[in-house]
Amino acid sequence: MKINNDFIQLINVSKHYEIEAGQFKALKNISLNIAQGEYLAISGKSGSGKSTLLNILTGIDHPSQGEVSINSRQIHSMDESNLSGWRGANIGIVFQFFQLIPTLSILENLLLPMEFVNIIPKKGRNTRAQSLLSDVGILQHKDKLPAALSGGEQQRAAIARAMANDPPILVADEPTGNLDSKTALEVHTIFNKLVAMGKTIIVVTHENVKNNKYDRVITLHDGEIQKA
Amino acid sequence: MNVSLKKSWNDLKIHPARTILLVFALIIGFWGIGTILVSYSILNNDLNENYTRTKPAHVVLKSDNFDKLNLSEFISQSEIESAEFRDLSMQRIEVYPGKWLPLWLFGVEDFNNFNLAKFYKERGNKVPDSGTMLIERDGQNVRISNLKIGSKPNVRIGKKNINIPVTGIVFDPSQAPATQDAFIYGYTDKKTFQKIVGESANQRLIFRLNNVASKLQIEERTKKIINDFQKKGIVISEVVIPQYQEHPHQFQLNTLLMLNAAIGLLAFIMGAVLVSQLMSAILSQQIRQIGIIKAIGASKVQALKIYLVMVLIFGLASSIVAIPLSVISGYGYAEFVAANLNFNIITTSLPIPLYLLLVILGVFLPLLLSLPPILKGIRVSVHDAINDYGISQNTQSVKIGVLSSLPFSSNITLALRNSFRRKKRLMVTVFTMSLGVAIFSASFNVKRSLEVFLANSRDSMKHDVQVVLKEQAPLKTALEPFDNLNNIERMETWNGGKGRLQTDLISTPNGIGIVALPHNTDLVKWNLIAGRWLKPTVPIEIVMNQQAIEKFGKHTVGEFYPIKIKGKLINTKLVGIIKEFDSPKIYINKDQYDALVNPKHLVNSLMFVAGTKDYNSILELKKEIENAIAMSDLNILYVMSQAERAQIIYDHLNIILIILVFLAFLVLIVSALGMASATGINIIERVREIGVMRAIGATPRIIYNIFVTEGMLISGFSITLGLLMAAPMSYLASRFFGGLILGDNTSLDLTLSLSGLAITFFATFIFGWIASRVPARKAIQVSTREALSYE
Repeated sequence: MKINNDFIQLINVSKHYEIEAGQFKALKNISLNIAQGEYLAISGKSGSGKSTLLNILTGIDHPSQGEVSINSRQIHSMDESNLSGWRGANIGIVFQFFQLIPTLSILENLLLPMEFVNIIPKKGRNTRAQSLLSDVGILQHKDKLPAALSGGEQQRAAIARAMANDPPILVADEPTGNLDSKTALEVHTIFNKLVAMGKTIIVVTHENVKNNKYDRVITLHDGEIQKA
Repeated sequence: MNVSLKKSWNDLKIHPARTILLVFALIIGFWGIGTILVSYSILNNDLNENYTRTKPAHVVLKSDNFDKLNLSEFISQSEIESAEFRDLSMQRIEVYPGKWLPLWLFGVEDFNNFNLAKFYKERGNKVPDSGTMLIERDGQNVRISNLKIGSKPNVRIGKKNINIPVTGIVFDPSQAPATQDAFIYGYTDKKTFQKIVGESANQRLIFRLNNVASKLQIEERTKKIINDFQKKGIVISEVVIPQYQEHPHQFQLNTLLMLNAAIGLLAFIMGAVLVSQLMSAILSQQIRQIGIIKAIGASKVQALKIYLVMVLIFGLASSIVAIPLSVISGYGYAEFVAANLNFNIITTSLPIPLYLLLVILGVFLPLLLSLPPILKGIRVSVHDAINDYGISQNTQSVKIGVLSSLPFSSNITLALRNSFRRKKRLMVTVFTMSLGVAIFSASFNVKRSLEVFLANSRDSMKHDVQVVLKEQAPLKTALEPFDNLNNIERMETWNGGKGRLQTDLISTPNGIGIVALPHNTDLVKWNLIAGRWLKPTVPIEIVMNQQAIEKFGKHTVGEFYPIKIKGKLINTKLVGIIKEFDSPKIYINKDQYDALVNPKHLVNSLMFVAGTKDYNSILELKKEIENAIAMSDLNILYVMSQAERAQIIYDHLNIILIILVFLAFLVLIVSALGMASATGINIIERVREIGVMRAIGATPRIIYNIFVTEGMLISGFSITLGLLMAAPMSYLASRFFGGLILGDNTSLDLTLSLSGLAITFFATFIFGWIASRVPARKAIQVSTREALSYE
């Protein structure tokens, strides 16, 4: 399989916020290429700009300057409406606090993005959702509401939901931040399996990461990529 | 069910108490508005329909020469739709032992075949046996009589009493309600009529015209008919042309319908605000979830759909309950009004457009009104939505410095600041509540103004008992029977009759009451709204009441108006206008009246002033007067005490007063619901904040007090603004209702209702307290842990 090294491209991306004290530069001229199937960690201390970078990568936020292209698609120029559908199909997001819909069962939480994006055939949705839950080891909880699950189980459900539409990219914001070390290890194991399946995974973390967990680690400091 | 719909449904199930409260609030709002719409639809149609179905006479003519008229030939004329002789004689009937009321006794041609002025059999005989009569059903009301089938009441005919058995009850929707006007309507056949009354039959012709659409057209055609009659030697002595297609008490219904419409509109505005606020409440909780569903691929339209479905469920649920309730209570309300105005509810099915309107109100209006808050929520970017942590750091532009410098406890200060956090919401809440307060307060003021008007009407006449003679009598003859009665301080005699104001249609004027009384009488204290009272000057002066002014459309004090009394045209100067609840009347100095048309100084109205004026003494006096009349040769039209006169006026207005306060109360409830929802939103939005406060040491009591204080502050703001708004509203309402009840351009004198003010204060604070207490109690039931983790 030919690997696309420019699968995700950030060219001179900057993000500024206007605050009372003046302009705050969250990101400064970031240029970054991420290859297809890469397992990348973005680390940095609180306020370093990593969440901003993640938001820009997912289209949740727009850069003040620069260009973002994902699989040759210029997402910085897409409007919110187009972005939603595109994001649902191409990027799975795992939030720090899981952010499952509290009024839907775990299974329904997986079916919801399939319904929104409508690329998985209706007939196969239930089977696929159960298969994903089985992959992350919580199929037995499929009919429970999120509140009935532990934090680790909720995070597995969130990962399964992120994969609902079989997106090529999975972005995770502090996915193990609220988990104990054993559960955190299980989450990484799941991610490794997904990478092995060819998914591109970008994880944002404030931990001191060990290189051997990821293909590559970039560290942000004051909105800039620190040189290794 | 697809997952999006399930989310909408589950969101409602997750907080069942809140969902039920919300649906309940919507039900109350829609119910109120629905009741008003349903009753409006029924009443607007039914009184008029009751009236027009009787095919009421367009014209009533009286003559002593109708024997010269060939009725069949008259009816065969193309312009005549139908005609018959329907004689009428005004007598008196004993309704309770010793209590007499005017009896309008009709002589009917054929009870089985009415072509016009129909009435309907209710019970007993359809055709009265010879020597008996049927009575109109409203006359059976125990408030005014004990008459029923089988009764053999005394009827005073001229100078003798005759027993006329009641053999049937009829419904005559074309007459003014007997209970309000204190009349009894009786119906006999022609022979019995002649025999009882002693008058020859066929002196009163009633007819309907073809192809007429207004009173003016009827007047013009009648003028021609009267001319034709004159050519045949038929002299018309009296012409009555009722308002075209209008029930005699239409004014009451018009007032009620206007009340309905005005208060319904305001309730609708408040209901709309309520729906909008409730959706803001739900959306404020869902912001982060909107972010999530957009992040996992939902488009704006898909997210919008989820929340619109939620509103649709609210709308459907509340409509399913509120629409049938509205129909039931709308009918109930209409039945109540119909019972008071003596007509039947004939609307058996409501028009389809009304149901459509109710569905639009119940289902689609919430959708429309919740669209702005939903769109606002949907427009929040994924980034902002996900970062919504529940505690807004945005203090907006509250002047903390000013607030902190106020000498309040920290609880009150916090409540005050919290109230100002969402200034737009605060404004909407206070405006809604104050609108309710204003309507409520204004209703009491209008009610008070009406009561003062009633009291003034009662006090305007200083006599205690009035005897009106059917036929004029010499002064000595009229007073003689009462010479030896006790408890009479003094008597005064008046005269009068029917006169005509000169109009363009001289031959077809309507009769107008002429009251000739001493110019310097101290028995009247009229409410003069223009000019002055009578003086014994030349030229001859008249004073009109406002109804006469309205009827004839002339109202310039100082101008001269020709009036025709007993065939004599008199040029008179209008010197004053008085305000009273009565039919059109012209007042003239008795000496001048006598000099012109009453040279024998006959009298027809005796005014008695009692020495002892307590209620029982007056009743005793009235009884003695009745006894004296029974032994005399006087032919009496009616005997009435002032208390009865006041009661008749009160009965005409009472239903309006009741409905006014009922509707106002409804509005206050809807506005209180608005406030409850606003407080509920405040609490929902701040559950996490409550958790933080609890974590740093606030007791549930402190939290509770803060929210209740917020509610009380909002009530305080609302009362202040509401009372300020009530002043101009009361003024406009007094003008408006005065115009409806008393005639155009006549306003009620605005009177502040102190009891209404106290009730407004009390009710608003109680509602405010309940509206904040319920959600506040709910707030303190949430544990600190739950509050901190609240989504």
